[in-house]
Amino acid sequence: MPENTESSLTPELVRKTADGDRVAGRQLVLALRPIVHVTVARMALRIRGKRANQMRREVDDLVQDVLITLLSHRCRKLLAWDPTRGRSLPSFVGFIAQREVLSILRRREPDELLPTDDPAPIVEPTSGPEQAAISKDLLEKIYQAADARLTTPLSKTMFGWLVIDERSVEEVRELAGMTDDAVYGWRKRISDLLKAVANEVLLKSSRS
Amino acid sequence: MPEPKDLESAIGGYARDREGALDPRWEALASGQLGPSDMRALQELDPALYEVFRPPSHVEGAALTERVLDAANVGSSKRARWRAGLAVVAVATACVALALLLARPPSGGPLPDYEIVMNDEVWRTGDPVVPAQRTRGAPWRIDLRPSTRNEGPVGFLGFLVRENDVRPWAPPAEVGPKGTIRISGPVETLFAGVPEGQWDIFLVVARPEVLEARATSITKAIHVMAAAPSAPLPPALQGECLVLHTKVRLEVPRAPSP
Repeated sequence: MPENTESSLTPELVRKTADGDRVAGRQLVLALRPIVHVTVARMALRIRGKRANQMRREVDDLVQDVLITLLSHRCRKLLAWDPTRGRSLPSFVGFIAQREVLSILRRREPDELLPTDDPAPIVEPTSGPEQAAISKDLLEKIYQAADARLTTPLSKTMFGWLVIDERSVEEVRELAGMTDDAVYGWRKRISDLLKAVANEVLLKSSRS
Repeated sequence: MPEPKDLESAIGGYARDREGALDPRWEALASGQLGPSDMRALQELDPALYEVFRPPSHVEGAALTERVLDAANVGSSKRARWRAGLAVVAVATACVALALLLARPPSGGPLPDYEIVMNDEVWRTGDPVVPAQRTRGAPWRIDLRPSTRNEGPVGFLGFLVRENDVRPWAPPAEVGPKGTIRISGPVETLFAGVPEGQWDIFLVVARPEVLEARATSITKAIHVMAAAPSAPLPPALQGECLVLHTKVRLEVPRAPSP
């Protein structure tokens, strides 16, 4: 987080903006924009991949949508920040931004392919070779195969939060606005998916 | 086959390394904290990632801010809508000007000192600033003229400041082959949507790639100068930018006597 962003983002600036002070609003957007941009860019890269067409345009649209959400209703979301809960204000903004990006993308692209109330594995695990050392090359193949089967913003984001970031169930529950059971369901599905694609990749590799 | 937990952990670690690619400079880039040479290095390193993380230009950022404030109903929305409409015209003009400047190859030696010439009166950096009276309907011209030989392309970012109100100012401008920047036109065009009264004008002159790379830092520096006009530029901008300061008092034409 850039130092000057942290120092220029203050509760006082949020309060003034909430009171309709447009000058303060400009300074607030200036302070929020880098935090939101970084959050959006990281999530968009995970969901779309960096070679995706129109990525910059989508990032710009998402940054704008998230900023509007943060400032709407007299900055209601920003005013919900409670310093006693341990997060700094910039960190809180990053947290809200992640939640909003997922929410916006889910509205645009419903999770039809991966219903959250179905705990069944996406792919049935197959029996595979015995324990094998996983080389970097195999890891890349497993990663690519798993990524190809995660087709919605929600599934890619859950994979990112649970597997790549190793976030706790509690944190993912808050970010995704889900129940504990739903998050555990996702963890199970992702675990099954990884096991299945690892089996497939290892089988192919042992045959070749 | 590894245990599921080990597999998850291995894949997670591998994916982190893969992303890890994302060194802190990418975040610094999005925040407008990188200098032109670092920006160029990242652009060469990974053009696709650069496109995702590059900060918005000055004019893109200003337009984004006004759109967000209008959509979130911050401040006077009616006035804001009117101002935003005018800002779009100014921003579009500035985009074209900046695009033309950026189309030239990045080059140039040290930035020369500049002076402001307004209707043949010359102001140099540090001169006392007296507001020029300008009536709507009248033409006006401001030249930003290098006082020594300039080599390389130049551009500028403009700001209008009154108390704590800092507004991006993107009037139509031309850049001459020797680096003179001419802002000219009828007062109502140059200051479209700007309320009457006295305004401080800050004009930041720099090489185009510096303006693109440091737009956020420059805007923040102008916010500081809005409170203390004699405040120095942050060290990171010194030598890369020049800030020229003048004032204007905008007036409406007097009604003809009956």
